[in-house]
Amino acid sequence: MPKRMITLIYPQALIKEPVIYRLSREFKLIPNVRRARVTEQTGEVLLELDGEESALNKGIAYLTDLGIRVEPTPEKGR
Amino acid sequence: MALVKGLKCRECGRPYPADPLHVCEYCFGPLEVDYDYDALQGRLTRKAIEAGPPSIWRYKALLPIEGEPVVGRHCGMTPLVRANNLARALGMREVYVKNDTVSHPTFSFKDRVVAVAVTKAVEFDFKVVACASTGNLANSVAAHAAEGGLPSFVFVPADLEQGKVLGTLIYNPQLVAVDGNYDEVNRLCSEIADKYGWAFVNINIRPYYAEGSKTFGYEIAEQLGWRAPHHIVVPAAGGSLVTKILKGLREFDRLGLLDGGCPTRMHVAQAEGCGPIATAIKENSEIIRPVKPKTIAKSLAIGNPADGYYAYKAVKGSGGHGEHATDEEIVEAMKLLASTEGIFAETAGGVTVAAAKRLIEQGRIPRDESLVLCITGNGLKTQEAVASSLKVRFHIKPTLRSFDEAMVSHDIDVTPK
Repeated sequence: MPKRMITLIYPQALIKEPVIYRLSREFKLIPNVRRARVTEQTGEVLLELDGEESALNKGIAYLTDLGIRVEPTPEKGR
Repeated sequence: MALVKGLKCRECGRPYPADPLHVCEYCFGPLEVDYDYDALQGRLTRKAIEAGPPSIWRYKALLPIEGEPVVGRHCGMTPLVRANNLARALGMREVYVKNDTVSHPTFSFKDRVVAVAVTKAVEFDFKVVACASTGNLANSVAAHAAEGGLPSFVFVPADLEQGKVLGTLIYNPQLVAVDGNYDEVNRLCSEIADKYGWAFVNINIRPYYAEGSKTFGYEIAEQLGWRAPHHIVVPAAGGSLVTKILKGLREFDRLGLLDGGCPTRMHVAQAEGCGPIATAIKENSEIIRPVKPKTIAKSLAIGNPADGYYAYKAVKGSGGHGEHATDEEIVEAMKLLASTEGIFAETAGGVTVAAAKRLIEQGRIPRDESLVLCITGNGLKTQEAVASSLKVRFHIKPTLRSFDEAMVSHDIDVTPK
């Protein structure tokens, strides 16, 4: 299954929401948190997502619609 | 005699060999070059550095190359100007301009990083060098690739200033204009780097490339008589330069090369239309929220800065601050620097001077403390920024009478001898 590496930047209002759990359950994606940083105002999660291509696209659209900023993240060097 | 231990993850600290790697495979943190400072202790002295060439290579022991430099042998040792006129205009006692507008060969501080990166690319046996650039890096990669006899691919946003496009094309690289902003160009280049295995200086060999920026800090300290200033204002795009200047000063301090230690407060200068690092500093948020750039300071127009978090840490950890400058302030500051010190800086220089002015007015930079302004690129590259506000005032006939009339009509006081 295709994998995608993304960085999520959360607005303050969503920090307490179980967004990654819902993403996993609703779109049948396997999330793996590789790094995270959370402050009072915002949160940043570096996430590896594993799933069908169409589910990955729908899942990322779901995050964006919620108001989370999704940044593609390079996976490796040479 | 460079004593590189290897690479180290800036997030989790995991060590890696000194290979062409740039991301930690566990936590995806960026990798950084790590040195054996204990072995350098006592071996790297002021005398040894002063006996070196008048270039960045006098600091070779603290740069990550193994052999001799293959390009950029004349890069670095740009003037540190005691800027008394500017100091008066800013109401400061002691101001210096570190003037990389005259960097060899392409008139910006990027020559420092590229000289190191291309040399390292050759050591790694890459056959092609490349970069994603907002302009200055494009010039420098194309020039150094030409010098090293390597083919180069240079990717830039399609709306780049004409001076930077021509200043790249002249070296005959494959210049690719991309319909998108820098962040989109950079994303594309990450994929190209993966697919073609080229040495993208600021992507897959970034840990080595970034070390070249330390020489900016080394030179400031050496040229100040082996001391670190109280304040340094640094323009930020990707955010690497401010972290590396501080790293350089702290390395010098650790090796006992500085009188008075390293009290330096690092300040970041960004444009109002693209200032995610300065915003994060002002908001005390260590998470950098990406922005869509909209500023005349195109060389700083990186909305999602790769080293933003580390720049934030460097500034906060040193007790510094961040400030923005509007497009109008940028142009005014470019004119102020030129008219007081005879230095024509590109827009990024205007950002630095304008942000410094704000920091001084806020009292964050006390007027009786020493200040170094990092002027990183030449104004001839970004003439569009000031072209509309500069006009030829006098157009006369080739006669003395015509000249005299022009002076009178413009109320200019010229007294005959």
